[in-house]
Amino acid sequence: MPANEHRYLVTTSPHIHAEQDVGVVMRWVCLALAPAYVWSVYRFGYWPLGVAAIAVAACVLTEAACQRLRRQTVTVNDWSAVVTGLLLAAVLPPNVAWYIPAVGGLVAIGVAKQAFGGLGANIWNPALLSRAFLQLSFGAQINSGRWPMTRGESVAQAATTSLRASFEALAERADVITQATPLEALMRVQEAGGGAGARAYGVAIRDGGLETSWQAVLDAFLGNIPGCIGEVSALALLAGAALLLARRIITWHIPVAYLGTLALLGWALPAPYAQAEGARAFTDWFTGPALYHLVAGGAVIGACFMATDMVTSPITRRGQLIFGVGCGLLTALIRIYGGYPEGVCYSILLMNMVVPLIDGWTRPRVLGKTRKETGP
Amino acid sequence: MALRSFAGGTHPPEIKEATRGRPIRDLAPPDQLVVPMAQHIGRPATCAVKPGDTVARGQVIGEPAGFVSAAVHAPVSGKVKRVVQCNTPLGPACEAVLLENDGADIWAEGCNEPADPDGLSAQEVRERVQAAGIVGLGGATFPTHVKLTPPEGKAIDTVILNGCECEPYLTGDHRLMLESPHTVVQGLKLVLRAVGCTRGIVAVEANKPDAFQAMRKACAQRAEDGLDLAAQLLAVKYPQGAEKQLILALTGRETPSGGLPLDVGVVVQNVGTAHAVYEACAHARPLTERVVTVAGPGVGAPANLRARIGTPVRALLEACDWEESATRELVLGGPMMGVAHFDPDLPVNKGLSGILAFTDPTVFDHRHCIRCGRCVDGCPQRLVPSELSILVEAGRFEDARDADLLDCIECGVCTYVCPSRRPIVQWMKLAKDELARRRAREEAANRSGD
Repeated sequence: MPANEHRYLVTTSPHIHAEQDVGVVMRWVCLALAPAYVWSVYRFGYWPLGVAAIAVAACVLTEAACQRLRRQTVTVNDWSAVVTGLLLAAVLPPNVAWYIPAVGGLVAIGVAKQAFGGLGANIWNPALLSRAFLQLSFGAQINSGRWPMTRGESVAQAATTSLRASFEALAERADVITQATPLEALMRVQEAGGGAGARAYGVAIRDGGLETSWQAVLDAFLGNIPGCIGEVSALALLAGAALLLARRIITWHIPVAYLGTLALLGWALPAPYAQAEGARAFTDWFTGPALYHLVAGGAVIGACFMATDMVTSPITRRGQLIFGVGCGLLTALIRIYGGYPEGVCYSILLMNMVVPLIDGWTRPRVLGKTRKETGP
Repeated sequence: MALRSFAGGTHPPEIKEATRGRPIRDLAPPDQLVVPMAQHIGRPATCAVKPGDTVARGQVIGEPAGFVSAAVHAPVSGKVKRVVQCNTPLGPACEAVLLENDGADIWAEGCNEPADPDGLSAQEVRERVQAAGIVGLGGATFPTHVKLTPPEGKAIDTVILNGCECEPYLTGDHRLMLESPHTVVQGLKLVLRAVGCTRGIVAVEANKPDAFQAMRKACAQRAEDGLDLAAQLLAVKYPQGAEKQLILALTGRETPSGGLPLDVGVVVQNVGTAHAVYEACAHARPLTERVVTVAGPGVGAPANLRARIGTPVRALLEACDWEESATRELVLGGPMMGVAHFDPDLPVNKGLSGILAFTDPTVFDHRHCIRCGRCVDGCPQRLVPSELSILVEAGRFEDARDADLLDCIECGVCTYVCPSRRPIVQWMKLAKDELARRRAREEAANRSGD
């Protein structure tokens, strides 16, 4: 045997690897969320950054603690917990108290992710499962009906002086102008035939159809509406999604299938509403506000950032199309016929559960085998 | 117009610039050569010489041991010093002949004499190819005469010459097509005659437009009545040169699972093999040399060398300004499917397409599958490698087999693209080996039970 027997590394092929590892993927997702956060600071002051920092810290600490307790390698350096924290904060209102993102991070990582075995093994999107948990546990704080809309002079000053001042300005100052979200407006108009909140978006039932104003669609697209920290501006989110598409971190399949289905059903389905005398009626088929459905609420962040979560979405591209259509269908049904104004969170969580089934249905046919011969 | 290709695959950096512009250089044979008896798929050749024998270049020193085997010839003239054991790129050591080169390079009787290849019958072509010890030079090293002998009832209608060379770094086939397009085309015509068909396609990836033009011209100039010769440009994508993917891209036919190209009427040969076939039929030269790309960050002057079989890898590296002390990994073949080896004194064999010296190899810790689907997108066999990797990692080999493990062609795309750095293709190979072992054990148990 030659003397230099152990000089050379002996590994199996391939001997070269693509550059994108998990850490790179996760850091790109963080960067893709930056436009939404920048917009949020512009709209609501510094407190949203405080919420994000608390959520991220809670996620990272919980991940490290769980892995330590289970005597596993601590893998917080893969940035996946940071992504979960940023996504969680993005779907919380800008005026939440500090302990809500803290508890949320604990639940997202501790319950939704680590209890199932960590990154890659979780069934549900951790940020959304946590959001659903917070909704059930802190409903009053999260759906306070006091969505900050615009800031008065004094609030604007306070908002950028300190985090505490920013929070107080958003949550407590009387001169914060609050307003219903676009989807709440839609729901109210369906319940009561048009309320005060609905008028801000031009939402009304007229001649058997649901009407919204072009101005409302434009405002929601740009982000001049009340809503959660990271979801108000469709434009900022789409910019981030374009980055992820360009880096090939996500593909078009889920977002297009999701938003396409939502727009189609939002336009086609007849919406129930209460007539003046209390009788139930339906709007006409094919008259719904398709664009309004796309830009309002969490549709864009859900379709581009939540439903595209690699771990909890189908692995085949055909499966991703089915998954996206399913998410869009459920979102439309919940929004139009359900008891909540918004359906994005529950739609995605429900579809997460059928991912293994979809993967089975859409298993590709092996080259040189018939579909029947392809196992298992 | 979109170029032909297959679904899936990936695009590793090509890194071919260093060698593709440089002519193939003849490497002077060293003073001592080690010629292995196992250089092909099938049974190793039987050593036909003993210490002290004088041999001439082209003389048989290893007799084929059966039909699926290949003869081994002396690559130089000289003296047999010893019969030794030598390492092989894959698997256990094998018998080898240690030759002392006398420097005269005298050909054996009957070798290196002009012959008329056009007068040969199909049977004669096969016999010459078999006698010349030709095997698939793309790296598979399957004895070529076996491929040229389609079984009864299998009609061949297309011969594909594989000039894709989709592995990064490697440019030997590229240079060969550029420098000897006519011998390659004439080799193709001999292959066509041997298998009894008229349609021949030379497949070239689009990153070698000069080679494509050269092959197209040669095909046109060597055209004959009744023969349909053409060069075809294919999309640049790994693994475009994999047999099943190449057949799919060019003919739209799917080679059945567990089947061979001849099941869909196709024979695929590497362009280097076609060149060797021509050399054997037109000059009576047995296979004693081949083109090897020497490249990688560990060599100062990357090159394509025409080296004698049995030359130590070290000699090729040193001819290319090898930075030995900086080299940390030696890869035999391409970076996607090649073998990392510990022994730089290993001899060049018939299947060695490249020698790559890496200075900074990375060993990764792998993580859980994050279900990104890149391996599913990339798998040219349309498997679900992520799922297979999870099954094999858990030791569920039978379940992996039921999930089409055996259709894996081990191209390594899944492992190349995996962001969790999972050694997926390594697990596939492991599971295949383990399943084969279990089956052998079961069969042995059944036999003893009878």
